[in-house]
Amino acid sequence: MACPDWSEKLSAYLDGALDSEQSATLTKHLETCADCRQTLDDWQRLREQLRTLPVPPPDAGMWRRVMHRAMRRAPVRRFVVARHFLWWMAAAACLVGAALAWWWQQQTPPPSSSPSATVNLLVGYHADTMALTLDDCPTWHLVASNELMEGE
Amino acid sequence: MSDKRAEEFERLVRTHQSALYRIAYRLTGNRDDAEDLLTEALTEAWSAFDRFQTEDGFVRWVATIMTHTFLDWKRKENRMEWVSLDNPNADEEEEGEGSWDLADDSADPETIALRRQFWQDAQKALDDLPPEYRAVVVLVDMEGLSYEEAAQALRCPIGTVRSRLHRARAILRERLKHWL
Repeated sequence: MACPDWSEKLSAYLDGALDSEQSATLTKHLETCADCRQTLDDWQRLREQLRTLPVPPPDAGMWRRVMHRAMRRAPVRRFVVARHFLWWMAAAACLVGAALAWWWQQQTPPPSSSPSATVNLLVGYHADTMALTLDDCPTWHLVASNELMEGE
Repeated sequence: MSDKRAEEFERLVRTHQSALYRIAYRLTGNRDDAEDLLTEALTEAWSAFDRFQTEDGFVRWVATIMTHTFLDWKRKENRMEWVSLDNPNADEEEEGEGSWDLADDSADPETIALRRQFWQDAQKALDDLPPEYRAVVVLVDMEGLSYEEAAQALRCPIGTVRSRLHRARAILRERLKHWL
């Protein structure tokens, strides 16, 4: 264990990052402190050994994929982007839907008893005998034929 | 950007691809994330390439972008899937390409086994470091960047680089003391 007062400086000393005065003082300290010498020696060996850590080669198509995406500026993490985008889109769609519903409610006049203002649907079993007539355009009236009504 | 600049960018990447991939792998600890990191960093590098002038600094420039990106990922989301602590080489083994198979065949079997064991322990210790510590070890101890360059890559003062490196070394030394 290095001396607490010297430990961080020892790390910088290893990297040659101390100024000349601090470096000279620490060099002098190292002459008399076996613990600091040991720590320095361990860090040095550790650094050398870490540099030997192997890196497995990339698979054969990696660089082609990387360059293709990088130079076309395609997003790498499409899923993350898409997921966030979809949430925002869903929220926006809800807001727009709510606004449209409110607007529609404001625009639609209250129900009237006048035939021309209503859509009357009389649905019979025999759709082929039903007559569709236009009355007071543009309101549609679907009227069952007399025959159908009489027949039933 | 012009075709000429595109060719220049591709040439630089091709020239330095080993170093770029090595840094990406050491930061992320696995090949899939290394590929994602490279893609994102090179996308950014390509979009800013018109401002890049000196060829000498290409690797360090991209390494800086990779470090920013890596730390941003770690801060924003817990997306990176770190290598299993029990089996640091799991993803490579699944693909039938173990990283620990890169040992020197000329060494005797006992040396090879010991070296592999050290690599596993060291990789595990490295993976367990907080991302900021890991990044500083990769940049300074493994890639040989200066404190100034590491500070730029990590977006922090030089004093922070120095203290993080000191703490990271102390942790690694404690974790790997049986190998020292």
